[in-house]
Amino acid sequence: MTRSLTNIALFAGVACLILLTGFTSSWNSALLIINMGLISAIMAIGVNLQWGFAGLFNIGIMGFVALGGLAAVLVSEPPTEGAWGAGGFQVIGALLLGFATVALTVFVRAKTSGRLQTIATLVILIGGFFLYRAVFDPAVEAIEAINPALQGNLGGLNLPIVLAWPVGGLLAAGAAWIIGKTALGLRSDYLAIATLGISEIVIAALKNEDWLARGVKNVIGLDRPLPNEIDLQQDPAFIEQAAGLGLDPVTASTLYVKLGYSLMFTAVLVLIFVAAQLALNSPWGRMVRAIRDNEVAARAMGKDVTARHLQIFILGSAICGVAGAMMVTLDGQLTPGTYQPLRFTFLIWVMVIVGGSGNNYGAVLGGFLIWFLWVQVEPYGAALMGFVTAPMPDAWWLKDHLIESVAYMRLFTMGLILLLMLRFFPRGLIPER
Amino acid sequence: MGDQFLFAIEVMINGLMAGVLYALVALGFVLIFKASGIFNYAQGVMALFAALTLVGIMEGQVPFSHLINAIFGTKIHHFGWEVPAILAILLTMMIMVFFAWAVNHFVMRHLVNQEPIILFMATIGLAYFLEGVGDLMWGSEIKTLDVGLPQGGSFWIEDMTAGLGSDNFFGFFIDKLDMVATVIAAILVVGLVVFAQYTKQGRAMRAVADDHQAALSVGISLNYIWVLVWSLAGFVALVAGIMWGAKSGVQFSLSLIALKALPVLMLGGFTSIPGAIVGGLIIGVGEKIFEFTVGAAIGGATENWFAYMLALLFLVFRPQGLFGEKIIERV
Repeated sequence: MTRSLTNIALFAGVACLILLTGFTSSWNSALLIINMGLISAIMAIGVNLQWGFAGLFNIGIMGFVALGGLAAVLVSEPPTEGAWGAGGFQVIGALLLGFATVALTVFVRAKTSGRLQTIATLVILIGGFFLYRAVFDPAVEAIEAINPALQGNLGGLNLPIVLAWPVGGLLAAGAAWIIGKTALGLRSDYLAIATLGISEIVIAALKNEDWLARGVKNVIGLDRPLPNEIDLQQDPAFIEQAAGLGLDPVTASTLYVKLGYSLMFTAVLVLIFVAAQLALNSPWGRMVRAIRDNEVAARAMGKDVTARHLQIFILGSAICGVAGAMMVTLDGQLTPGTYQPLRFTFLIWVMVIVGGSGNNYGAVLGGFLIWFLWVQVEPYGAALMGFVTAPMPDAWWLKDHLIESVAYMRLFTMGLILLLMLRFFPRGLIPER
Repeated sequence: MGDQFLFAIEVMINGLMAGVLYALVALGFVLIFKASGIFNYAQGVMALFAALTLVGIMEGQVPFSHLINAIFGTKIHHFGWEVPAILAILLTMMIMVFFAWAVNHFVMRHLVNQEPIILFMATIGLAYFLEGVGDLMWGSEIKTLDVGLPQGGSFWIEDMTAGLGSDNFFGFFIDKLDMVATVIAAILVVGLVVFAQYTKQGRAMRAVADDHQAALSVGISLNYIWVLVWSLAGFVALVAGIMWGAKSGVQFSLSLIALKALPVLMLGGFTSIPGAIVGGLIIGVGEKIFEFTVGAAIGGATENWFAYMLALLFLVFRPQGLFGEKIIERV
């Protein structure tokens, strides 16, 4: 079989798996898998750009995804009443003050030398820190005192949440610019540790800075780009249409909303995918791959290695940020406590490696396949157990055992799949051409 | 002496003890990285698995009991015997050796000459797999591990040091277990160094670490050395698992300390055994002291990221780590 036929077969196989879910359990869960699969595929493309095409080892995907989520809150939430008056501007001022302190330090360090430099740096940094705290603390306290059970944060701009997707990308790109400026151009493990560390810091900040996005109290009930199911169910025109299709209004409304999300996410995925493919087949893409394959040779040919690395690192991270904002939109809530490296960093890596690093088709395939397995291994394990134990008469105590034993299947199976994949297809399902 | 100062010392001592654990995990990393160039993400899970197995054997649990019960409709849980700690540790060690052999035979042997990232991903797969197997074999509830190590704070130290501060100071609280852990870790490191320096296998191991091909050409079996190294790492993981399990129960959060070992390695250098120890201690003490002194001023919860920041600083000023080999070139 030729390569392209195999690829089509692989995609068809994954599609069949998802369709099977639709037929055997419910279309609702199938659509849910598709929606998260679309988001996972976008994240995988982002990582694939960085790793597969430029050889940049980013293990802080979680941080960029979380920044995208933060953008969703900051853009779509209505501003908290009185928060800006109580201390919002003061917080912004304090942040600017902190920024100014750093800028001043850099400026002074450039102008002075020797012992004077050390003393001046220390004086500015320590003085700046206390000044910053003096402005920052009362403002934060005032904001967090406003209706803490429901709000206690600054709120956002009250704009449509779809706008948060590009904003999430921008936020992640900003963070990536800072990391890239400091860590790129040095050895590769700098980037690994820098991304890992900064993603932990992003999560720690999200958990602790209550004025920003309520910390571990979570922001729930975010604005939605699509109508609520409950409104659809009360809309006579919709009920009529649903009846015309032979569906009851409750099922029809959930399917309608999920399909809507699917369409929106597909549009974003196609956009990003086409852009990535075009970029990579352009001279720029060839240059990036040349740098990956032999940095020294590329530099000798006059290519600016560090600048290309910085570009593609920012691009990949921005894509992860967009996906993060989309995920929060789909969930309708931001829960910083649930961001864990195993789920948001290494699972994405598994998608890229299993799909085939260096190939965008592979990344998309891996996104869907791995997400499907991650979600469906448990219910299928349960079904298998149920099938095996079905003929047994006294099922009452067995049920507990069943429920207990299938819960472990997920990690076990994921590990097994990854090991088998690497053993037999170390270059992934759809290898780089 | 002021009470604050005494508290700071107490925090520091307890940080040292926490650092011992980081150091033990990092030690396992270094062993495998030196000999085969694999960054073993599964080291933390290996510690967890070893501790789970130890508890399971000691309490006479039936492995895979849930699975067996579910499939055959039986109701077995325990064999009904209890195994003495020493014997159980030996049995666990045998299982870890078998695990080392299996990893090498079924996974790593086939991935020779692959890119480092593929090897790294394989260890992530291994981590997932081992966590799942641990769950299937022994169940997921938090277990208590008691191998007869002393527990609780040492009253003797508390009484001895109570007089140092004012009436509000009740003496240093230092867990006996932590002290034992420190001693055992020290013995372990000395033992490893002696093994590496003076035994035939140890020398072969170092030869492989220095140059694979040269070692191969003088007749050292790479497969044998890799199994040996993974077994040693399994042994270190077992010790770490016992310490951690005795301290806070055998639970699945143990696997997360694998991530903390990364900054430890950055600090100590990827290829240095003393570096792993010193790096672990610095991170352990550093994050506790930082939380104690600066943490309150910047909103707390600094322990999560302090280690990474410290590692970053180190990378800027001393990229090879404290004890690493100076073969690093800045690009």
